[in-house]
Amino acid sequence: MKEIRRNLRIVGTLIVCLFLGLAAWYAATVYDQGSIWASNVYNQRLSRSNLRRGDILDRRGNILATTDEDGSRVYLSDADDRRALAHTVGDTAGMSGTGVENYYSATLLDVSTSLTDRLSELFSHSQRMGSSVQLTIDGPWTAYVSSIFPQGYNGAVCIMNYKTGEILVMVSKPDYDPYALANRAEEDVVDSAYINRCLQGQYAPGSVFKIVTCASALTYLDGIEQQTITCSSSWKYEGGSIVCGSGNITHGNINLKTALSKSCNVAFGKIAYQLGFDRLGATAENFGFNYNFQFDDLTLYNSSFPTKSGNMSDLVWAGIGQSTVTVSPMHMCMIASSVANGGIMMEPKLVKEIRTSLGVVTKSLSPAPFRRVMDASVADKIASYMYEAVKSGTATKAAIPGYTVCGKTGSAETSDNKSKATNAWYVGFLYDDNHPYCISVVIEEGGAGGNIAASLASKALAYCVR
Amino acid sequence: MAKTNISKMRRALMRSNTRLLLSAVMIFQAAALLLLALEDNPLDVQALVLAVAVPVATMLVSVVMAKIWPVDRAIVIMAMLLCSVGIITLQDIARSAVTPRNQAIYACAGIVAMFAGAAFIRWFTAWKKWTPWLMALCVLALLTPLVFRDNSKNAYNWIRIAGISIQPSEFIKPALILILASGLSNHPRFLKTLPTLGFAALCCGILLMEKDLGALLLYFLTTVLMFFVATSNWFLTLCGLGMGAGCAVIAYQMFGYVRERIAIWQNPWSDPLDVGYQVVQSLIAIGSGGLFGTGLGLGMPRNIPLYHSDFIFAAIAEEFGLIFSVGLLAVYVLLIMRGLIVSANARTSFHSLASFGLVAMIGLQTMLIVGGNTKLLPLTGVTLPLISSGGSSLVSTFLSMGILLGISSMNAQDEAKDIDRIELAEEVFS
Amino acid sequence: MSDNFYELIALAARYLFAGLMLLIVIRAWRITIIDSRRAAKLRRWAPETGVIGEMQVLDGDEKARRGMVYPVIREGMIGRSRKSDIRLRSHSVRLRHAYFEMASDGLHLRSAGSARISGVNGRAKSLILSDGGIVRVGKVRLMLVLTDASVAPEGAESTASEAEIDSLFQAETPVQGVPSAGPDAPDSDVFGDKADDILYGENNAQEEEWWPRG
Repeated sequence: MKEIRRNLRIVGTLIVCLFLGLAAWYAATVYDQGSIWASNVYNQRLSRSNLRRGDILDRRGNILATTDEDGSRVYLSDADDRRALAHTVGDTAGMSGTGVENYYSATLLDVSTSLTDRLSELFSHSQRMGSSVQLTIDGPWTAYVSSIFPQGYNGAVCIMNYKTGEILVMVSKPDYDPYALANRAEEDVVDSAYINRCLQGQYAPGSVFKIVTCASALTYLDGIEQQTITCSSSWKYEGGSIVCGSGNITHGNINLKTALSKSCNVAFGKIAYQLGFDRLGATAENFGFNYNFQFDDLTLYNSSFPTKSGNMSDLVWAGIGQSTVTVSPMHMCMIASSVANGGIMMEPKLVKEIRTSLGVVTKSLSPAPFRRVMDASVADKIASYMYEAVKSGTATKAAIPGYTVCGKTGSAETSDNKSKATNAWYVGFLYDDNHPYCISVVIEEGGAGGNIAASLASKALAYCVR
Repeated sequence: MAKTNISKMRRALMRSNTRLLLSAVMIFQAAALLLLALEDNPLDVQALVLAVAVPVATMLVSVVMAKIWPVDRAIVIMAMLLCSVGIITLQDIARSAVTPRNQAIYACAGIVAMFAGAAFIRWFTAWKKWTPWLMALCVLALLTPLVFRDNSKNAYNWIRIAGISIQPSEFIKPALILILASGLSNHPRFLKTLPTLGFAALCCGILLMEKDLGALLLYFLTTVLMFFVATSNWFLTLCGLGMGAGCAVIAYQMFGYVRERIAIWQNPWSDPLDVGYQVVQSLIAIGSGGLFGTGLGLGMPRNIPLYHSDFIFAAIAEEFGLIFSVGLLAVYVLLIMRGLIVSANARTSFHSLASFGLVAMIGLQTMLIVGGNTKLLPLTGVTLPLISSGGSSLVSTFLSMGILLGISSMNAQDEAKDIDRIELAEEVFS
Repeated sequence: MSDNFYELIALAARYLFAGLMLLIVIRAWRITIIDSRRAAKLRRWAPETGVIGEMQVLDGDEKARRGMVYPVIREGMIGRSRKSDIRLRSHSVRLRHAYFEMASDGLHLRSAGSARISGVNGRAKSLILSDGGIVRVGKVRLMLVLTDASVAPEGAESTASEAEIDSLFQAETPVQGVPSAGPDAPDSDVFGDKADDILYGENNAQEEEWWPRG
């Protein structure tokens, strides 16, 4: 019997510990994620509630969405403005999963029931109303950027404050009219219109990825800035070759600064080759590639960088942002912000303030750094290279007279045989303490980044300094 | 030793005062059911009746049982608490008033079964002799669903007798444990363990054929654990577990529905309207509950499919909240702990193994279903013991509780005899 | 009952239910702790509960000396290992030597695996001992003394005579024990014995415990 008792002690302790572990895990997970689960769009409890859905405001206090007396949802009256903000604001039909209407539906309908609140509401006979959410988004600016976006093209524009991480503008084309979902307007909507390309789009970054490669080089390769790199329009490595342009552009003997500002493929291909998958991959993952973003305010899809060692071609072309590298426009904007912010990438923030119907502020903006992606000195050097790119490199169209603008263009190949035009990329920032904004632009099949993407960026940023 | 030590020991034998526990449980039951009675307009009569009947039943059962046999009163009270949580939840959320009424009736049948179980195990002294008959009975009972298929249910393991659907695999659980305990008691010879283990394997095979994966998992794990407790053989136990894992992998490859379950478990959000619906709605419900719940009658747990059986834990978490549901888990843990104490104090290896097996089975079952509700584990189709609606499960769990209580009463009696003997020895020798 | 009013009551009741559940859990936990403390106290005064008798050593070697007494419970194991219920520290005794079980007709003894026990008729696989019966486990000879008549088998007075009991304190003369039906040839069923050894994890060659302590 002693033997059995001893075994009982062992197995009994095991079972009890397992159970306690289960209980602890359950408590922790529900405490942590419960409200996220409850905000899921398939939570039918929310739609059955007889609350009035709270307002959504922009940073200036403009009302982007409200509920009228009938209980129906009212958006901006101007159709163009409405469409510009459709992805940000979202809709009540669950089509745009990342929109504020869905992501914050629990808050807007104020699902958390508190006895004291309910008591005070009962005695004040006020109609129950959910909390209002004030975003960091600048409504008029978003409408403006949406209006200057080239007609007929798809793509995305993100503008962030690189010091605080606040998102000022999110534009995604093609767009849709949220009234059409409520059958209050006629519309033929393209399937992908409901996707917010800023957060959910995954594009090959092309040459804008050279920022990351450059950071990797400055971190791991000593003396790379003084080195002379030879570009003779194409470079062969074992297993393939890499070309500048279509093999017709020669940059000659250049240094790193010129390589970035002129966006030399050969130079960065050689640098990637020197770095290897390990180091380049480590830098990319430090920048947030392959990371499951878990931000409070919004959903951001992962960007990916191939870290499992492939063949030489994968490495070299990954160095210039092709191969299997993908990135979202918002992430690219965050990368540009880290260059402007001394190497610290701030967490993207969408919500400025949440206020209950009784006026109590339950959440306000508190900028938080996401992580340090590179040393401050590295960031400064890259900033100066990007300044050179705008001054005399590929991004001259992004310049704004009287202001220091730094940028990087990209023309990302999306087809193997150049059958489709490249995606035009531009990322950059305005180096100004009063207007600390960075921007990322991607225009699908827009051709060379230095053309329409850079000029769009210039106009978009110029709006705020007008 | 002085006489005073004897009285100390006598006091040690007296179990702790459970009056506070009983009162708290009764107050909870009455308050919850009264609240539910007030919910409707006019007053819900069934809830009122239950508000009186359930606390009174709890008190009666615990007092009467303790009077007849010196059972562990805390276990009785906790079992009645769990059962009443089930009745309260069903009264609250079931679509028709018949479900909680049926649950209460099954609970009465269960209480009878509890008394029967306690009496049975006290009488059952010739277990080795009866084992083969029990085995045959079990196999036959397990096979009946294959022959008399109950077509009103989706799974293969129900039969229908006189208009009531019964799940034989539930009733076989206590029988299986008794058979295993008998077969593994007092270090049987290797050759004599083979029929026992073969029987367990046979049961698992039949369950596999009936696609009752949850019960299969429970039987298998309980058998392995009981085997370890009986033989202390780490190596063979781990081999058994490994074999089980291997079979699970094979099942994964071979059976589509297993793959489906695992895929849904990994990411139910990917298909929230179709196959992932159950788990997604369960998580949403749990999340909507918050710390204190939405309040009785104020939540919407009927969105969860199977809210009255498999996902009743999620419904409870929604309406009663996180603190309450963690407390519920704590009650299960305490039940298991006290059951293990009963097992450690048993005087023969048969009783020790039997009580251990029953406790292990209840514990594993609870872990499986709570894990399934919260996406920790894939769904396995077992029910929350004593709480889920379902007559077979309720009655068979009460039967198991009865057996456990019977063993605890035998322990108490033996302790009393020991104290008497020591007293006697003292008188003779001092 | 208006909806609003019910809602208020239900919201307030939430706290009541959570509090009651906490109270129940804490009380049940305290009861369990108190019970186990009392059980520990009981164990201190009566270390082995369920004792139905004792085994007295008639002769053995220096580790299990004549006159040593071991309490016998209803069911258990004889051996050298620390988890045996009757722990004979003689090296002639296996770690896991024999199993015993109280039944209506006496104490059933069964050798474990390939260990050897012998009764009156020499080596046997299993024996039944009544009050006063003698069994030999390894080099140690043990006599069973049951404590009360209710546990002893019917009509099982010690078959030892007065002189024989006196001899406990002198030289030994074997007292009749009752061997049960069991294979008499000691070497039959070797396979079964070996299988038992493997099942219960005892190595034939292993005569020492893992952590031998004096």
